[in-house]
Amino acid sequence: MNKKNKMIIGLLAIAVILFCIIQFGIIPANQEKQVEYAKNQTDALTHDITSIEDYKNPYIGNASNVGNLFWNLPLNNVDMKFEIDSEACTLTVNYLDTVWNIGEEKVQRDLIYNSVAAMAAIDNLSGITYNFSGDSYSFERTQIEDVFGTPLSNLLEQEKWRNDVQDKLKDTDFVEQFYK
Amino acid sequence: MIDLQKYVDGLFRHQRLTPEVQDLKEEILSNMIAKRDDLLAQGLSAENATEKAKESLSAIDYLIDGNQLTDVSKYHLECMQTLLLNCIVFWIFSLPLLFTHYALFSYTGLALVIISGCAYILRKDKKENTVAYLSITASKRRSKIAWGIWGMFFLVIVGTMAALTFGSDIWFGRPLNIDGPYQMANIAVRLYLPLLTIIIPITISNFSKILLKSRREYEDE
Repeated sequence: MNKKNKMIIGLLAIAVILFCIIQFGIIPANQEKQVEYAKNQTDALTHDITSIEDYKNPYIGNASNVGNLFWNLPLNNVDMKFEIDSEACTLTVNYLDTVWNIGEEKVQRDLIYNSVAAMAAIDNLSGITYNFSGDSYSFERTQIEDVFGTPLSNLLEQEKWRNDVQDKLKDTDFVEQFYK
Repeated sequence: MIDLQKYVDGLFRHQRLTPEVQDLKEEILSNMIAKRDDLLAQGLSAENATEKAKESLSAIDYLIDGNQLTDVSKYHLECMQTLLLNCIVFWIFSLPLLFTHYALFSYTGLALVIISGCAYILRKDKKENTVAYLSITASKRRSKIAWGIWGMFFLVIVGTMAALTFGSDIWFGRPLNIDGPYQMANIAVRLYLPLLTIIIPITISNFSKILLKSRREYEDE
């Protein structure tokens, strides 16, 4: 067997081993992590707030920014449409599903989470209304600031967010105070 | 005369007509005509004289400068072997692309390894011993052309990529945003892809070197 054939066999062995490690080891593991991450991103208790960092904006007027922001917040697995009132600085999110389908407890917790996140990311957002088929919820900036403090933008730091928002939302009584 | 002219044209049909080759062609034709005239003078019929003149020269490959008597079977086998080796190298270097949207390039590398591997094994089992004159000049020319084309391709592609990526602020009014390893890797991959095609001119250059190594001495004929 000449030198070149030995080189071919050696390189082929390296290539096959590397290919198998990547194709059947690393890539499936990465995909599993991505699926797990995407699943976590649909729920307020497991959401990673750093994913909305790119969508911080001082003004509500940027429709694509608002869309991207909400597609990166909990309930992003539910189809939605947006209406922006630039003069009143308010936002309406129309979810194309029913509260009953998603689960009332989850909806109530996720809506508080989304409101705090959206108001922390968009400085002049003064109120949000969420519409579902048959149900509607509204949140004012003052109401959110009374509970979480000002300025809300200070909350968008991972550790602070986990302690001051995410952990508090685990408490059902804390969530219910927004719906009395 | 027309018969001999056609015959000589046929002998040179695979040659590039450089001024030197054209001179050689004219010399051969005039020698043949002289030979035929001699034979006619000796009393042979026109048809026989023409046939005998043709028989005096059945190939011209060895008369052309830059042609080399080559062990064609060995040359083809070594070319297949080199092609396989280079396909494996291409495949290895394309493996990082499996993590990107360009994974197809890596699968193409795998397919090329399989195809060239099968072709090499089939060629290896053939017990042929063909000898022929092959042009070293043409082989070197192919190598130069391959590098030239690749060089232009690489410059155009990389230039376009660089203009689109780093000049996005000028063309689209959108500043370049590299705020993490992901964006950095995205740009690097777009420049890495055209670089991978360097394996094509390298392979063609290797073929040229193999041709020189596959020289067959005249006494072996």
